[in-house]
Amino acid sequence: MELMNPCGVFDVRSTPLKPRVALGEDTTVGLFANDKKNADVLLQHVQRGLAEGFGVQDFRWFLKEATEPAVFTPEFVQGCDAVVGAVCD
Amino acid sequence: MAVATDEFFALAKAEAFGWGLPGLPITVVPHPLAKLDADQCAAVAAKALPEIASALTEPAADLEARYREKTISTSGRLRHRSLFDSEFNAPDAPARIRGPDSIEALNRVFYGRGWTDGLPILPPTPGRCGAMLDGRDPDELVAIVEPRLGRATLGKIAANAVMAGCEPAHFPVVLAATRAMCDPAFNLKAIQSTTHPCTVGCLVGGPVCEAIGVNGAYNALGQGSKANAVIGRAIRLILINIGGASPGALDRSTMGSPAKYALCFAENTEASPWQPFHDDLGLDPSTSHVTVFGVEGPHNVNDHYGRNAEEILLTVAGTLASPGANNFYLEGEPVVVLGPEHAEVVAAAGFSKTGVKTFLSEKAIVPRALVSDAMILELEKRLPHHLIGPGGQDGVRFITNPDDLLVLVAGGAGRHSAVLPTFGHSTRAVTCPVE
Repeated sequence: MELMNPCGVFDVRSTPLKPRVALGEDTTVGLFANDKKNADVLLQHVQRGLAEGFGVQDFRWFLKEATEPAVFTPEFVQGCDAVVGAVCD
Repeated sequence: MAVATDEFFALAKAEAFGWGLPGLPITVVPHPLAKLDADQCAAVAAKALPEIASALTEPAADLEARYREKTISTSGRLRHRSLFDSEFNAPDAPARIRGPDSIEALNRVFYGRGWTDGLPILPPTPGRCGAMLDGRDPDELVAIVEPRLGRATLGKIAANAVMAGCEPAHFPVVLAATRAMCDPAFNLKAIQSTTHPCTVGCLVGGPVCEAIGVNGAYNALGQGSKANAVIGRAIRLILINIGGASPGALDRSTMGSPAKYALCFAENTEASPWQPFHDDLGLDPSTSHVTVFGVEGPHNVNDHYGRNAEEILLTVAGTLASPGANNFYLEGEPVVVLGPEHAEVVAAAGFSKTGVKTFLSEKAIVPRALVSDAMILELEKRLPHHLIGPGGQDGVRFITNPDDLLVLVAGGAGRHSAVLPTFGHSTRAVTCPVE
């Protein structure tokens, strides 16, 4: 039987990852949690690990309401060399 | 880079695809994180830290190649893989496909690919889809459907409408609902992918209801009316096949809801003492409209004994005031569907819809004894104005802004009404014309 394909074509874009940087005291790492329980706790431990193990001193946090889209501030987007996001539940 | 629990890896991957970053490094940790104590969280973080550090420092091209290929467990899940590498939704996917000639075999194939709601479908043949389109361009883009960002063209919407059992006369309503639910104010990405059992509730208003038989009387929120059933089902199939809302993959609903099969209804305008909902919005009564709500299934309000409007509305308020509803700590626009017999008593006592909203917002109070201490702490942060007395000792208001309540009249004879809590403040009812 001939049929029409019911599946929507997914929008496929491919943006290169941002070039990575060496972690150190000059690096600013963003920490982004989605308001789910313990997402921020996990990131606090990640922050400690990056500070103690890699010498990172500067961290910026961004917390969003779980049910809302993330609207990052320009300060967060432009001020971080790298971002670790926690999407937990 | 991102950290996600294994249960939510598929959703994180879809989000990365949506950002155009299919190679985004995603470190997976065991689910659930939420129940862990601080020491256990520390152990999880310590174990993940080396991968997190390498994801922040390794050459981007190497990371991209490795994480693009990071696979998703398909064990016991429908359609995980096809959401990311299926030949049926790639940009060069064929518009037409071949399927078995027998309807039984065809349904097995469609079900196996995760293309149904579990019920048998009608084959989307070129003839049936062509009749649905009635000469319109199948490639015309109507909307992009979250969370997988599927392109809802007229042709794709028609195929899913056919599968749901729609007739061509139903198609304009399906199109209007698709436009409405893809409006950013509706927040479809969250509606589709949340663990909450919300769905796209669809209210149809205007002359089209009589023309195609959208039921607003007996069993309006249930089964039995073809238009209600097939339009509601078409919306669900669009959410699955174009939006990627495959249960367990991108549809993360913990419990689900029967309302996720279909929830489409009209108001009982003939029996309502007030003007229709769409007239309240200032819309032209001679035109038809669809409003979508991000709602749970209906919660019934049985009040056979209320002696006056206030007593009936008190029962409605008591049903609204549920500590387990998202609206309790996220506000939003709960929907109140008054049955005609309740509405008649209420209106006869002089209540306008505004008066109903005001009464309900004042009386819908959850007793402190039914609210956990942990929730009180959360409410003190989020909605302190909902707490009555110190620490909410005199109860917690379910809603404080009467205008947030949406009041409709539907159903048949009998002293029942219904309330439909919503996903919360991040979704808003959206209305589109039926064209």
